[in-house]
Amino acid sequence: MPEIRPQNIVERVRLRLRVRAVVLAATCGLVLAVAVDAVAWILGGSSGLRWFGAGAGGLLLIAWLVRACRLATLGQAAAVIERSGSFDNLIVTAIELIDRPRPVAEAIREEIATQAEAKLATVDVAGVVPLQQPLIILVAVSVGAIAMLTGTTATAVDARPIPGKGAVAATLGIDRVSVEVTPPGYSQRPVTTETDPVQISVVAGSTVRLMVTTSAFGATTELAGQGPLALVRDDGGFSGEWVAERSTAVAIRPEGGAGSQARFLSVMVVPDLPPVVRVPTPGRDLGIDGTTGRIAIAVDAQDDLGLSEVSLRFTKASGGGEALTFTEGEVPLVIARVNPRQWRATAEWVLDGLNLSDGDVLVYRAIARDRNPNGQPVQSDQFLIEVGRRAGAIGSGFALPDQEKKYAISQQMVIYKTEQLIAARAKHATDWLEQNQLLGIEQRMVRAEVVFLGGGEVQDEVEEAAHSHEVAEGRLENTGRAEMLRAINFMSRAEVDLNAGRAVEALVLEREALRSLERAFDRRRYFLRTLPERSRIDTSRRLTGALKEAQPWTREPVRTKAPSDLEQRRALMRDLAAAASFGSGADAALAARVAALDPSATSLQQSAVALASAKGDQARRAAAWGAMQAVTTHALVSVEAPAHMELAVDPLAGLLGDRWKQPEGPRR
Amino acid sequence: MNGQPLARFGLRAAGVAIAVVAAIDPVFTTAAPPTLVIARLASSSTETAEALIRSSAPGSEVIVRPAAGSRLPCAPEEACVIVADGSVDVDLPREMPVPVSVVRVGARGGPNVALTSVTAGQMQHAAGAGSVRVAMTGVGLSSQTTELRVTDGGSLVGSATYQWPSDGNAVVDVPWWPVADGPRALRVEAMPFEKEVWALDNSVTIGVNVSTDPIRVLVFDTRPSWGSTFVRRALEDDPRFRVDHRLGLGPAIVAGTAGGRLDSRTLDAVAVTIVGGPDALSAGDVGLLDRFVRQRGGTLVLLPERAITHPATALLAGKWTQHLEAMATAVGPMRASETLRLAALSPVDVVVARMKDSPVIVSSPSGQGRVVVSGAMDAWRYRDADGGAFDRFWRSLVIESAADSHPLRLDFARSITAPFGSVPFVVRLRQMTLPPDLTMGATATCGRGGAEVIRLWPGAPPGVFHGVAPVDQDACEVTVAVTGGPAVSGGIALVTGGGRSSSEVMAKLERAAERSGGAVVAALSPQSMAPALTFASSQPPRPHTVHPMRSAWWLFPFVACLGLEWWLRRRLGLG
Repeated sequence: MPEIRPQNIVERVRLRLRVRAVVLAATCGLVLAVAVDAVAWILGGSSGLRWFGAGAGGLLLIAWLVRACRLATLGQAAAVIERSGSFDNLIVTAIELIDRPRPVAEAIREEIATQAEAKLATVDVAGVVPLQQPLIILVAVSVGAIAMLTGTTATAVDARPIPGKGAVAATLGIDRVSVEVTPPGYSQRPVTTETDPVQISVVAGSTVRLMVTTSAFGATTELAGQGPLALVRDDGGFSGEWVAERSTAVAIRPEGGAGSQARFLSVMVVPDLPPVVRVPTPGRDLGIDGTTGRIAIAVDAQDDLGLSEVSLRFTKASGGGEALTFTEGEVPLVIARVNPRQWRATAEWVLDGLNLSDGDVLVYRAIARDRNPNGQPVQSDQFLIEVGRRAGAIGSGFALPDQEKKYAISQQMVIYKTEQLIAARAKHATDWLEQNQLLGIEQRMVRAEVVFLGGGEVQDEVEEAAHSHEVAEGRLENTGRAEMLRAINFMSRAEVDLNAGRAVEALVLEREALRSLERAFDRRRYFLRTLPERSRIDTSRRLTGALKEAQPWTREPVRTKAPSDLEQRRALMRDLAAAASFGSGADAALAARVAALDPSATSLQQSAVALASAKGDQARRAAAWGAMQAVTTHALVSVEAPAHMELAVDPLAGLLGDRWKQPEGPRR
Repeated sequence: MNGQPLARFGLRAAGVAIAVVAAIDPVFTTAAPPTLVIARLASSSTETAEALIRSSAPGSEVIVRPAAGSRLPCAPEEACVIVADGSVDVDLPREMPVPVSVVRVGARGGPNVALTSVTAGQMQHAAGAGSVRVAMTGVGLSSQTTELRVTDGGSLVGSATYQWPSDGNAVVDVPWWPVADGPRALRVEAMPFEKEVWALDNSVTIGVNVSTDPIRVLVFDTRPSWGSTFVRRALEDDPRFRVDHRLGLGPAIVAGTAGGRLDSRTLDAVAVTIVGGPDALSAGDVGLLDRFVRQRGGTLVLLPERAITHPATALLAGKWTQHLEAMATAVGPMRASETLRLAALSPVDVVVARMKDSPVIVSSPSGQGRVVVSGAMDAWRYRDADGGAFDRFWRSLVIESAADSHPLRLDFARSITAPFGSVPFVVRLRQMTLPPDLTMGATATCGRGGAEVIRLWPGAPPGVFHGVAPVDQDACEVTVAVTGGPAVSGGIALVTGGGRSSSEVMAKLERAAERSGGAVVAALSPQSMAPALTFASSQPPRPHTVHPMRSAWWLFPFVACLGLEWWLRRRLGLG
């Protein structure tokens, strides 16, 4: 029996039919698997159960559908080919003769085969059973199924059914936040790591590294007052770090998650305090008679992190007037380290080699420095050692004797002598006038000194005395100067009385002059103090600059009283009020907003921590109320509260006030 | 069987008779006991008082009615006894035709804190903090601490604490900050302490308008003056003020802002004018400022640097003398050494600050405005050592004085009210010269609704208009605008349950009772209750009209008679 040649093509069609059946079975199986997984996810099934259900359902369906492959016989393939074109049943007949041979004339069989072959030559097998579309559908469904299955598995960590409801609050939570604090190297403190802290305290300059574990696709971190912190994907999560220079609040949110899933972290930055150094021994100024000797000195220094250096330095002041010279030096110390943060040092200062002379002054102070390379050295109080008896130095610098008191004492002396003269009047019966005039000369000398101090403006004493009422009436603007002139005036009048032998009357005026002098010198603001550094003119800048840039100065108002975050604060207050009333929304996100108002405010940070760590409805309400109190306290510090005044105007009071004015002058 | 026809006849007759009498509806009049209404205006238990009233008025029919809305639950002619503890506030009718008595209820004699009054400025700028002055009385509170809270819609906006040294009265200023603009209802509450017997008198609600409009101020310096310069800077640095200034540098040289002119137009717009170097004012300037104060109703603040001379003395009352202190001394919250002091105060002068006992900063009412003279001439020298008291003092002074000095004022009869109703208001326009063709419009916007036009009625003084603002379920904002002139807006805060303190409510009820001829009963005893029931017991029996047939119960005998008669007939086979 000759071979029927059309069989090859029909066989190819059958193969494609079977492939298409498998593809369709796989597609349907995947769809069923996704559907089963979705239903199980909605019902709150565990991850394993959902995987099992989805897999079993999908595989069963595939297996059941693949049975259709067996239905793809050569006859069915031939029938499919027949349906694709006009073949006059030749293909089916040819295949039938092959599958079930029967007694047919060979010529007819050959003719059928020939015609079938001719017909099949025009058949496009891919067109009869297209596979492209089913394959594309399978790929699309596969991608979707993979996404769905892996997605629901990833979100399964925080998916919790809402009690009493069939729905699920799909949330993307943060599983864990680890904080690694690396203090600055100079502090010599160890690196610490905390898991899920709400608040940490770090030394200024520490590196804070956040490691966030989340099931979400990402996480965002925002530092109050410093902007967002970039987190990069790390082993099992995301991480980021920054150098903590000031206190801040950190809000960590999962990408795509709700605000209630945020985590809050308050970072309190403790600044590196400067060292404290003092000189307990001798702890006071000294005076030595000679120019040699030994002085025992003790120095105590301490720092919060650790000391790096303690020294004792001195300045020797020699000479006087324009020839005053200064010499710097250092005294060697023997240092005993109680611990890294507390040092004690002693010195036996030998003065012999300092070439001191009578009147010299030694100023010494201890200086300490901590380990912070950016820290500034701190010095103790300064103490003096006066050498010999001529020194009049005080304090940390040098000052002239109090000239103001000198004048006052001089006038006091005139008063004293006048009182003595009056008391001894009986003795001076003969030379009374002469003694008065001698005192008048002294009064004149004192007056001359005061006139010189005031600028030497008083030219005519008699004229000045004649116009003393002007001084008394306060017409002169500068009251300090007025007191000076008043004192000069009293002195002039006292001098006149003394020259006339009227010591008793002069004594009254002398005392008035003394009181005016004291009042004048109490108003030190009226006297210009010589400040050479500030008043020095920089000659290099004279006649320089562009004339076009010369313009009148207009003060820009300092609008600091308008809080830029007023609306932010108001919105926060509204949310806090809702949280305090209903207990809802009191979460880490709200805490972060509280802390972000002012990261440096301790009360806000504490309230934010309390809010973030509150458990239970009652505790959340209480924390929200406490946060409101902190926000209000902070707001009242930044906005000004008025002083209470009552200036209420009654129209009748105004009319009465106008009538009240009438006797004083003409009615307006 | 002979009785059956008779019975049937009787039953039929009874049924017909009931129907006929019911159609006639006969009326009878009897004498009923007089009615006594107990108006229950209390949140605490009133059972004891009500039982006592019932037992003291045996011949009366006693009806108890709780407060419904904001109205007194008594008809005008009814004998009414109000049982109140001060926690429920109602509107009382102006005229009470019959005596109404008040019976006080509530705990007595134990430790208690009661708020007696709460005051705050009606206008508050959004950018600043306000101050609420709370007056309270305390009994049995020695060494106890009372916490005062100010809340706005559930938000805590201010708090303070006060420790009682002994029983008595206390006044506490509580700072607060606004959390929203517009009319706000502030609830001030003294937190009850552990053994307090009566907590209903611990809270009061007040209304405040929070605005963002700045206060307009003109600073006019006749010559460069340190005093007014630093006062101006204190105001310029604050967004609550819009400051224009004019500084005379020489005979023909001036500096300042564009709006800083001393003319009628500027003075119409500003609320407060501050003058530095007033001794150099010209006679024309003085005349203009005098009109600004007396006619325009503005506030003039004079900052002299020396004794004020003619013609500026025309602005002052009394004699100011110059004094010099050896050391800077306190003048109110500031310090100064060179001062002008007012020798003699007039009865209407308000002393703002003193040095020792001498008035140095004085506010003198004049016409519709006021003149404030600051004799603390060199207070500016010590402003760096007073912790900001200098700046705060002058800002507070300008804010306080500007409250009465705005060119257009809108005053509501009350600052809080219950939803749905109306509140009268008064608009006052004050100008240097009122225009003859004055056009003013008022609108009210409630909630999210549109603006509703309000009719304004002219008052007796020129520039004064009256209107009535509607009150919806939401707060309403009233806007009044003068054509080509200033505009102002304000509103009334809405509260439920009133906002007065219990003592104020009780005082109002007691005044009304005394005005109507009724009695006020504080002690719950039969003897003390008698005066309160005098009017009720003197009432004659009231006629009582009875309609006996107006009862549904008549249906039963009617149906029974007809039904029985029908049954008898059926039994006899009569169809």
